[in-house]
Formats: sequence, C-alpha cells, structure tokens
Amino acid sequence: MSISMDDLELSCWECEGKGVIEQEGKQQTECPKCDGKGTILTAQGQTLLHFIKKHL
Amino acid sequence: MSQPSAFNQDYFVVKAKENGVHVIGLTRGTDTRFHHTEKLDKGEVMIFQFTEHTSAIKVRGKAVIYSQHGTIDTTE
Ligand SMILES: [Zn+2]
Repeated sequence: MSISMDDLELSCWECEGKGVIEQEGKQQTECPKCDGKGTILTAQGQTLLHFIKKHL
Repeated sequence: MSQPSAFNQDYFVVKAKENGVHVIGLTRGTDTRFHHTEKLDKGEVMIFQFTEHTSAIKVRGKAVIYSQHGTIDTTE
C-alpha cells in the first residue's frame, strides 16, 4: 500500500493553499479556516502525525 | 443536557463518482474552521456523523450523498 500526499493532507478551500486571505487593497490576513497552514489533514494524515509524535 | 448516544446521531453517506472527491469537516462553535478533510476515490463510500466537534460538512466533486432527508447527486 502506498500513501500519496493527498491521502495525508488537502489544500485549504478557503485560501487555496496560500495560508493567507488577500483582501482588496488591504493587508493579507492569516486564513482562519486552516490557521494559516494552507492545508488540512485527512484522517490518515492525523493518524500518521499522531503516531510519529508519540514515538519520536 | 444528557449526552446523546453516538448511535442515535444523524449520519449520512457519501459515495464518490469520480477520483478526488473532497469531504471537509467544519468545527462546531463560534468560528468555523476546517479541522478535517477526506479524499475519496471513485466508488469509495464513507459514512459520516455530526459530532460534538463537527457541525457542518462540505462536499466537493462528483458524488452522491445519502441522508435521511433524501439523496443528493452533486452532478444534477
Ligand atoms: Zn486556509
């Protein structure tokens, strides 16, 4: 079984992966939907992250 | 308020009609963040429940959503 990147995380729909929201004529603000990360973890991604953190 | 049983909660089913259907969970509370996402490939089925953490779910891509309120085909 192989795991691809999009099995682990997906690009944030709100900021389209940029992590910031651009408002016209205003400064950029951190995307509130993904906390500025630009991606959101899948269940598989969260499982892997949790496992690695636990055993690191 | 009594704790509702997880087995009595509303659930719905998403069946992907193409590769790369995205299902995204939004947090319950004052601000709605995306806290979880799932990628379904063609033919894959996932069953979802609304929980204390998830109050809304967004589906993108060609899929059929089955719920107790009926069936929604995103391509129609
Ligand atoms: Zn974002």
